[in-house]
Amino acid sequence: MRLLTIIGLILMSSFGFSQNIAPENDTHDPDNTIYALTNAKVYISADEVVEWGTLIIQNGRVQSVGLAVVPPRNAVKIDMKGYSIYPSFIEIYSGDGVPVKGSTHKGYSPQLNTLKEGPYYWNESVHPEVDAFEHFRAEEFKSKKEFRSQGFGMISTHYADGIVRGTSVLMAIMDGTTGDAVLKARAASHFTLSKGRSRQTYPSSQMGAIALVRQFYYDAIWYNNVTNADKDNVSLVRGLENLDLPQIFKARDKLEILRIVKIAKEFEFPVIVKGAGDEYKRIQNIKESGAKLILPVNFPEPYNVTDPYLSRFVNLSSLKDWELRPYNPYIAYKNGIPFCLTTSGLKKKSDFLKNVRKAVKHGLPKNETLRSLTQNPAEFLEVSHDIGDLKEGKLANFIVVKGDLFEDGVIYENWTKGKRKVFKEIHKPDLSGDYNLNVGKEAINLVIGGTTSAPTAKVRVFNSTTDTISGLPQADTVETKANISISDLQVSISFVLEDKGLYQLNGVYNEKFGILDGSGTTPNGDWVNWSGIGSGKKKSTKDKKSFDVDTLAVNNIYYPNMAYGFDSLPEAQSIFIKNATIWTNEEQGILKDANLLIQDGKIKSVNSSLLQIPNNAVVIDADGKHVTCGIIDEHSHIAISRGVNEGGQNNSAEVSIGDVVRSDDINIYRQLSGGVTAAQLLHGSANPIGGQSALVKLKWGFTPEEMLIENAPKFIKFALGENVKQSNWGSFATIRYPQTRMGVEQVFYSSFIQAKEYQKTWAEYNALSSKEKEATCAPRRDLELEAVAEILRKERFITCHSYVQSEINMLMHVADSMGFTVNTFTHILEGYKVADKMLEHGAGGSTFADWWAYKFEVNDAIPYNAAILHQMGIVTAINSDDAEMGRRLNHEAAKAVKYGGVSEEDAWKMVTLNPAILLHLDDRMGSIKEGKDADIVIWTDNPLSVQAKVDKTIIDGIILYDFNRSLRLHRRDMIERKRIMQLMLEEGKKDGNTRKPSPKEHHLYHCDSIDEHDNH
Amino acid sequence: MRYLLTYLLIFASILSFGQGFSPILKQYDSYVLVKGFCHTGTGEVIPSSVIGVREGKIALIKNALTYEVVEAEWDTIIDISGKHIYPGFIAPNLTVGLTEIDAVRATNDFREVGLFNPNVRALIAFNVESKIIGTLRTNGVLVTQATPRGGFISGTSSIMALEGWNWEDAVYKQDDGIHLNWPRKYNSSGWWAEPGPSTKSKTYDDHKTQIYNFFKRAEAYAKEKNPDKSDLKMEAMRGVFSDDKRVYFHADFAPELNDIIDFAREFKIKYPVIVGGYDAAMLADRIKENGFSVMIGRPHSLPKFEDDITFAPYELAYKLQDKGILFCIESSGEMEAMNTRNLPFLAGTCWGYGLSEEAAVAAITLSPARIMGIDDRLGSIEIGKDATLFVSEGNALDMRTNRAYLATVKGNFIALTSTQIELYKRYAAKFGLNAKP
Repeated sequence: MRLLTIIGLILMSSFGFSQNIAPENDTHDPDNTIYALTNAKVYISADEVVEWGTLIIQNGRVQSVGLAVVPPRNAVKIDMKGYSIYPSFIEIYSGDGVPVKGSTHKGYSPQLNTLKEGPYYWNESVHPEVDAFEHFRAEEFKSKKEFRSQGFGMISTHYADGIVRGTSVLMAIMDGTTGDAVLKARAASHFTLSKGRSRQTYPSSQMGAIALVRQFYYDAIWYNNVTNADKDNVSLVRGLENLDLPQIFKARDKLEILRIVKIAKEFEFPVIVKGAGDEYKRIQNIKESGAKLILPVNFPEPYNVTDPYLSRFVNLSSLKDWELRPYNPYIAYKNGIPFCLTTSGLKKKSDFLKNVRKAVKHGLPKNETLRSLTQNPAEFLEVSHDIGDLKEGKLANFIVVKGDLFEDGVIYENWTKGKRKVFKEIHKPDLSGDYNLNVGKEAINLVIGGTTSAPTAKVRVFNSTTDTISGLPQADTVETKANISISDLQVSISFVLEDKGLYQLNGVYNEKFGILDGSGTTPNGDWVNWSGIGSGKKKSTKDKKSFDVDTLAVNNIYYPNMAYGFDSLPEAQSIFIKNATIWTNEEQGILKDANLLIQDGKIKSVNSSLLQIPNNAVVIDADGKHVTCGIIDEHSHIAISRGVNEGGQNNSAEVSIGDVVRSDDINIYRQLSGGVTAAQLLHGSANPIGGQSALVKLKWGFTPEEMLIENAPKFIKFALGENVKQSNWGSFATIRYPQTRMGVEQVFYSSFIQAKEYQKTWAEYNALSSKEKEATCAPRRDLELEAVAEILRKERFITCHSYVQSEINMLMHVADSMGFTVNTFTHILEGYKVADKMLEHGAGGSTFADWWAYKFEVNDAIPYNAAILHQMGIVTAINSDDAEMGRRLNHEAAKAVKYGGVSEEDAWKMVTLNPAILLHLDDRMGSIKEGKDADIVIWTDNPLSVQAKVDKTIIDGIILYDFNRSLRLHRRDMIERKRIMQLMLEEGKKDGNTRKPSPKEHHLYHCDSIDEHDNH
Repeated sequence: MRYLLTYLLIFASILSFGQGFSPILKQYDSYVLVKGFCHTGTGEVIPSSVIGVREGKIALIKNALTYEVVEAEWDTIIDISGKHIYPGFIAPNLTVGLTEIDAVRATNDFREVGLFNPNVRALIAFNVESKIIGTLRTNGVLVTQATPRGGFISGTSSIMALEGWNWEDAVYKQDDGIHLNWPRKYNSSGWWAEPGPSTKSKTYDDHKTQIYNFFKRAEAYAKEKNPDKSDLKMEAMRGVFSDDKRVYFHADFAPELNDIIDFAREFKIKYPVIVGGYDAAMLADRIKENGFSVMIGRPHSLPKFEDDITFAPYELAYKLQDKGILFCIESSGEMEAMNTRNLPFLAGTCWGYGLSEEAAVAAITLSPARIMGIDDRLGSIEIGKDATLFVSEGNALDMRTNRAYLATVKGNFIALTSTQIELYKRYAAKFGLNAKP
């Protein structure tokens, strides 16, 4: 009932009615006093300023505004001469005042199912039904005062926990009841990609969160279309309804923005993204994405870089980030991206204006700053008819400022819905100056200083004394501190004069003449009159600080913006390599003194004698060097954001590494330095059916989308053994099915049989005529079963993490019975025991060169595995599964020569052609052949030699790594570090606030990395 | 003819013992290895060498081109022409023999409870039957320093031959030193993707004080030969002050290394060793002046700072050599026991990045022996030293050519097989393949 009343009230007010619905406990108060604020500089909007304007408000709204506005006779007039009026700010992204509950789960055992009771979605982090207006608690809104003092009049706040979070409430920041304050009960629908406080195991990764949001929408859409059923699931119903609201996603870095936009595009809704402040790094892509932004101003403090050893803990990317973040709003503006600013992310809300001013100093124009805090949030929240500027009819939400708000102005008042909040009195008289007082018979000099709110005073008297030596009279000045208090025009002063005693004076200040007069008591207790004339104001001679705007540094962005980043992206070149020893991986074998022409990103010719070398070609004399195609790592976990494993369920076929490729992982560059050009970024091995792979080229400097191999075959990770049965996860991980190899088989059968049924249901539906379809409800789309069904249809291939022969055998049986082939067994450390069966089944193997003994199930692993598999005729690759080993896979290939006597050429194919075959990429990669991708490595030596170094790594004809250039980039980085650290030390001196250096540690993933990544 | 005969004989004997790990009984009082390409470990090579072994010791080193072997002086002559002969490789700072399977707790015997455990001795937990050992010997790693982990002082290491019926057989040098894990001066907060500010570790000063105090007590205790009450921990420290017991300081970064140098000076540590030493080259002069040697952390590691040159860990060895610091290569880290067999390739990588080939050999032979104080018996092919030798078909620092031909520990031929080779043979046979272990 209370809820209804509130909503009713809101509706009424937003329609502009001023009638009261609620009964009044007094005589009726029409609350319609007119206020006229005159002589102010009025910023009506970001684009319209009136120098000597009048603003007239009534009933909480602007009645009229402008230059030639005459206040009605019955208006309360307030002279605002010397002050500016700005529309007050709107905080579009907050969780303040809405307390968040913790999980109800107790103990350490994994929680697989939701503990939330009621007709809700199955996952605790999805709760679109949570409305902030129901959870808002005025007494929890502790930042209210700070918001007001920073110039805010409205706030949109939400339940800041979970993935699908529910709706925010837009309300005025004012005293009085919450009901009066609310402008829009459901202002926006909120999301993130982090699980929050839910302890349900799913999702444990960012890719899981992405899949969950997608599946939720498909479920909601499907649910909406279900006919002949009561819609009892509140989450699904509300999820769809909320789609009509503005959709606000919180991102934790620039790449997440691109991921979020992908989701928004899939479901065709416009999206507003609350960024992390590093958007400048990928601004072009963000601009193209069409997302609107909410930008924080929590610019980093400088690090303390005094100690040369210690400063190494701050890497170049952090240094550059420190320099560039203040430019982020400016860069967004320059690129024409609509954005709002938010206090979100600031440690102290009271730093907001300070940091906004910093953004202005770094190029953001003042009117755009105002727009980002008023009109834009109003537009984003679709409430421009009510707020966002001071045009007629808008809510009377404004601030009164002395000086320039975005330079050094001071906020004196903050009016919200016509209700005035005063921080400082605008007309407080300024009494500071020098006064000659006559107090009775005494002549006393009074100096009033300090500020109007905290005045100080001292008195001086002139004593005539006689010099004891010369006997001459001389004047001696005695200065004493006085106590002063000023209340409006009334002044009280007390002081003690030496040899005389205590004086207590009270007087009144005549503003017009600058005269003080009144009465008081002298030391002997007599009341006397006193008066004094001010001898001119003592204006503070504080120089106005120059306000310089500097945008030069925006040209310092590297791609990626870190060590070894490119100043500008390198392009594909025509490259002619001559006098080389070329390992073709084709029938010609190893060619001596051969040449190679690269053009348009492809291999144009191999050792051709009839050759036209393009004029602009780079000619490389590779005399004494070896040239190969690039190494392909069949099993890699680098360049992945926030979690390699979605281990929350035993089947997570719906998640995809392709959604979370991280293009600024330094390990991309490091792999290039080891001659790796392409990799399969695999899901981990935490569950029997893992997630979908990303097949990428290691295109350093490019975006995740550009790294993904075009039209790449689809892959998915499966896993067997100890990891999937959680053997080494501690004694609490004994809940999730399966806990044995027996159970693993059943997970597979169960999933494949379900997928078959799923396929059948859809096939039946798709076979209907369009008329019949209209009458039928479409089956539910299930992303997990869809991926599994793709395997059955041979549209998606399995790379299966595997060790022990029994389970390898088992999976082949499962596959045979389901009519498909296991494409690749990865690790496959006991493959040598079942090589004949693998051959018969048609599976390939991608193995470690020599790893073993790290788990019980690898006790029988042998380094001769690759040799046996190879000799048995199985396509055999050697992979890394490790960022460190990934950059010397040539070493690992060479071990196949040692262990089992594989020929050098065949060993080399194990890290190039064979993984290309396993990944179905051998039509474009894996050998040096006309027409294939120009993914080429130039080595200083036989690539299998322990001494071989990479001279150049080329991908699609682009030289992405060059040994000498790398040294130059390193030099450049060292100089760049010094430049920025110098700036930091200068700024640190100014502010005094510095941060301690922090090592930035990125996680290195292996298959069994199972840390929870998303509970932050 | 006689050459051929011996060759067959030896080979047969190796095979006959090939099924297990049993040390091979002494076959000869004396023998001579001829025509091998000898890497002495001292930086020298003898492209065609004559190396005589008598009573387990190296008794003769000559150039085969100028020296005629006197057949009568030797029980047998073994022709190793075309092959490379090295001092057995020495792998310091490892848990080989103290662990079998990383993930199986029951097999892990290297981390004791408590912060100060100098009295805890790796020696007695050393499992000579570890299946991992066989896989190391076949790559030339014949000696290890069995080292406990954890706490501030993890315990006392011992230098073990990878050969013997029991640890008493295997031990080369008992209780050679204590291992001190120096605390990190700076801690990062936050989590990996969103690192928070790093602060000087709040506990660093306290931990450092604890270590100082412990050493002060130990120093005082060591002055009294017959204390009233015996203190096991203090007794274990005695050798640091009164004997040649090493102190192995495990640390990587310059701020800690600087503190360690100050610490070692205060306690007049006679044989201070830095283990890890990622920043050692930056403090080269101080390290050298103060008599430190360095065991550089596994070169097959990623750079520890994002901005570092990609091959920083590969070239650290060269940088230290350039500064004239005594260093060797250690290979602790993830999966260290099984990875120990790659020790020669770590040296090979350093060879690729600046070290000369023989300096790379020294980094896993004579240098670790000198650092650990066993160079009187191990680390080089020099007269009077133990005949702990490795003969490879080709260059042992390169993956392709590291192939065990024979190996000796204290003059005895050891079995060059492993459970892995046995499995290989078994399954190669099953599939009719020709096994080439």
